[in-house]
Amino acid sequence: MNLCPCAGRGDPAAECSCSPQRLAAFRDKLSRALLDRFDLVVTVPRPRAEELAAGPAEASAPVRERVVAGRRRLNSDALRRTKEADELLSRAVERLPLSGRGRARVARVARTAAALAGSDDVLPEHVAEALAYRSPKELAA
Amino acid sequence: MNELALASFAAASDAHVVGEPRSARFASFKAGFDVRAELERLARLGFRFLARSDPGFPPLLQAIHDPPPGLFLRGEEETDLLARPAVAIVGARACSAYGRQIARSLGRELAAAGLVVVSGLARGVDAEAHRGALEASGTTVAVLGCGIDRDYPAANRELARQVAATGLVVSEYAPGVEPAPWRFPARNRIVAGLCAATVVVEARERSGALITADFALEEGREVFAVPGEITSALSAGSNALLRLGATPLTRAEDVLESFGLAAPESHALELGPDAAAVLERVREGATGADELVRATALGAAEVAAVLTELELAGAVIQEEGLYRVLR
Repeated sequence: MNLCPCAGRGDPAAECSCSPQRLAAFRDKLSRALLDRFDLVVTVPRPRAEELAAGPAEASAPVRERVVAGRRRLNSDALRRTKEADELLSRAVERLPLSGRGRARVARVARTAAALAGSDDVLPEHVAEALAYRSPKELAA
Repeated sequence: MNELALASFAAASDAHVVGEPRSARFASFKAGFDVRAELERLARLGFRFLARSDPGFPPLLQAIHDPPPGLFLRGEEETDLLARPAVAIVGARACSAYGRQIARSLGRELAAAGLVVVSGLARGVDAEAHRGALEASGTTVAVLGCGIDRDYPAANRELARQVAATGLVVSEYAPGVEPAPWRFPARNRIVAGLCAATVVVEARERSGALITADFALEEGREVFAVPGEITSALSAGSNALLRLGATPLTRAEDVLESFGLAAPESHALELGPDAAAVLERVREGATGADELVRATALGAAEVAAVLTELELAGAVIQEEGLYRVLR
């Protein structure tokens, strides 16, 4: 979705012309409760010419291999959060508007991230990665 | 207490009253006015009144050429808080992400250094300045352009409650006075009047924030303006102030020095090499996550992890998909 009705917000080449009221009405369409159920939210700024001209990214086949390996790891019993990862999660719950559900979802996504990375434990960086995918505050707040 | 009668008369007649009018209407209003009953009514509503003649009335506000008859107060804090060194942070309601972040971090840093942060509780820059000060557990004062019992805009009701919990919400206007366009410029003279310095963060041409800056200049107070992009209409007003001779503000220390204060020691962040590389790139300008991946030769997952850690540590802030450093 766009960040605002006129789609100018977040685009360095355009200027947003939405009034605060219009912006608030637009954001109210998605309730906080609904947003809370999205685990992966990625902000995609408008790509610039050089980015569009860049070569292709990683091919699908190696990604597929990684995913298959990751699934296998997820089904095993391994992958527990280390003490440091737990601390980061608690710190995040204090600082960010994370609900009980949000915390549980972050923990799950972190486990997936650890599995994809081929790690034996869920490390702080995996929790941090999962947190990066929570709804940005422009949508949540 | 004459001033309370004056303030109540202003509310009843919907007029801007500074001095005692020599009209029959005021004379009859004053004759029928029961100061004690009005004070009791205020106390019941949870408000106080600080009259212009009270020795506790803030001296800087006393010194402007048209100080209000008095200030209605919301919040439990002592009134001498209003006499402490204070800085006004004002700017556009419809501000950019840049303006919001600058207002927030200025509010935080100036409050952390011990200044009282004064603003107008409006959307945008005002609200962010209050929030920043609250984040630093500092003291902040909100000046309303409507009756002391009103929360305007309604979206900032919770913010007003937080301001009143540790600082003060003040207004020239008695309970029940509705917000009206002409009251906001009048409110701005109080914002500027309470402060030895005024910072304009982002202002269009003919913005209310420029009115505040004008009041500050007229009273010989210090005026700072945060430089903005020369192509941005949102910064046209603040850039015009700079052209007129306002002091450019590039860091919180600029303001602190004018108060003879030093910035509190900031403890350096302990960063790993990845985080340091990412932070260095973000320092060069607002950057998206994709660009950071390309610029640092780190994986997308590592960059996401590092960014979240930097965000939690308060070193960077993310808005609209772009990351910026926070000071």
